[in-house]
Amino acid sequence: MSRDTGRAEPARRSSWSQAGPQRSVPGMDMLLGRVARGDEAAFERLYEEVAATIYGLVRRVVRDPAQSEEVTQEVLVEVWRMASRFDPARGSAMAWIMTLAHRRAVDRVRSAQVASSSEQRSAHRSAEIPHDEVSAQVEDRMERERVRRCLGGLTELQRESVTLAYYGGHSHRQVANLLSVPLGTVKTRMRDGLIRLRDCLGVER
Amino acid sequence: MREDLHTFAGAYVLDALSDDDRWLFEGHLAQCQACAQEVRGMRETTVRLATAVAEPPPPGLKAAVLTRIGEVRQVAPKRSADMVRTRSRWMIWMRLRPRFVAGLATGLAAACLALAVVEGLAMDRAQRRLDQAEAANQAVAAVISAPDARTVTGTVTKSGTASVVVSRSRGQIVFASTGLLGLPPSQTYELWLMGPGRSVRPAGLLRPDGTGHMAPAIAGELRGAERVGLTIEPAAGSAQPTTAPIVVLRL
Repeated sequence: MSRDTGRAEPARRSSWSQAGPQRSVPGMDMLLGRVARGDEAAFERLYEEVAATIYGLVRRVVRDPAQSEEVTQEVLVEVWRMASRFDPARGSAMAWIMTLAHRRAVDRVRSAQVASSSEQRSAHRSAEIPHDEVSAQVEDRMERERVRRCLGGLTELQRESVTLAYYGGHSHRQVANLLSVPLGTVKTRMRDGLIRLRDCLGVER
Repeated sequence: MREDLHTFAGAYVLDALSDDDRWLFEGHLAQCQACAQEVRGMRETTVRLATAVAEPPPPGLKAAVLTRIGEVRQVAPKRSADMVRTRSRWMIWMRLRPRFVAGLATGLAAACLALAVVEGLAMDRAQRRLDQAEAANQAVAAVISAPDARTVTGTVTKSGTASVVVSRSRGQIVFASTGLLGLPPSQTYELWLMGPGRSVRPAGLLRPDGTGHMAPAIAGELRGAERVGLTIEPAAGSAQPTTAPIVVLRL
């Protein structure tokens, strides 16, 4: 009995170590394939898998809850509409969906940008991952910790460049202004930062 | 400032590039395997950044979305990879030469009208315009997607940004700009290739559209040029610059 439990433990842990978003990656590709064929039940399951991630990201970029909900809905409907255009050879289903989501969120803030200085100040706040305001339901503490640790491993300029653009929805020009560094520097820091993050997180290429 | 197109990858994945830089990079991406690979890895990385900020969506969202998809028609499945490539090249062209496309459409419409009267002649002309547009598109695409393509960007005096994409292997450069001031009909922007030494060669007349945008165009053969300059000249253009350059980009 106790030997069985002993064996089960490490096995569970090793599946944990590949946990987080990758947990459902092969399943997600298949789900999206079924969605492309008009399977509404598959879409409902896909909703359960991705809605929290989409909403969380959109909320970080757009901030306003009502607008974030609107954008999240647009993204999900777009996923339904465009599912047949997903090409597994060019990346995972999750990457395809989140690319759509980020673009939509960024389009929303850029088109509505009043660029008031108070908004610019809040940008710095938005670059941080919130410790609270996340329900246990979607919390994956290990994954969250790992991302936080890897972000912490970047140089400050790399981290700020990546997070101001990704979570803050700022263009590289705005990021350059916020950080008072030349445009070219911001571009290379974004690239270096993402590469370092990728390696730290052990993202499959 | 001198940059390599490859360095755009991060900003591209983070949706932080300007529209112009984005199409430049997408043109490059279509030809650069290593870049496509890098972009793939970066996209998976941003998924992790997104998962780390997941939060439960509002309770009403699910029902709203499920209702909505019942009303939205899905797009047809994708065609072969060949078609995709054609389409993306077409897309690049659409971005590169919006006004040319409009002109082409007018040309084709005119050709169709004339068809009933002088079929052969009109078709011939439309075809020639199509060929010219295609050739211009391919020349620009070839430069911006060359493996050694690099971009130099500079600020234009008073207003705007100018970029050139240089490919030494092809011996050509492409010039693009945004935000330039409109000019009265009596004036034009003229591009110059400067060097080697003190030689200055005219490299074409340019006219921005209403929004100050100028479609990227081949700005001629490199032939030892060291810098690219832009001046404001009389509408007919000049053989040598008559005003001080409003931007000089070092190649």
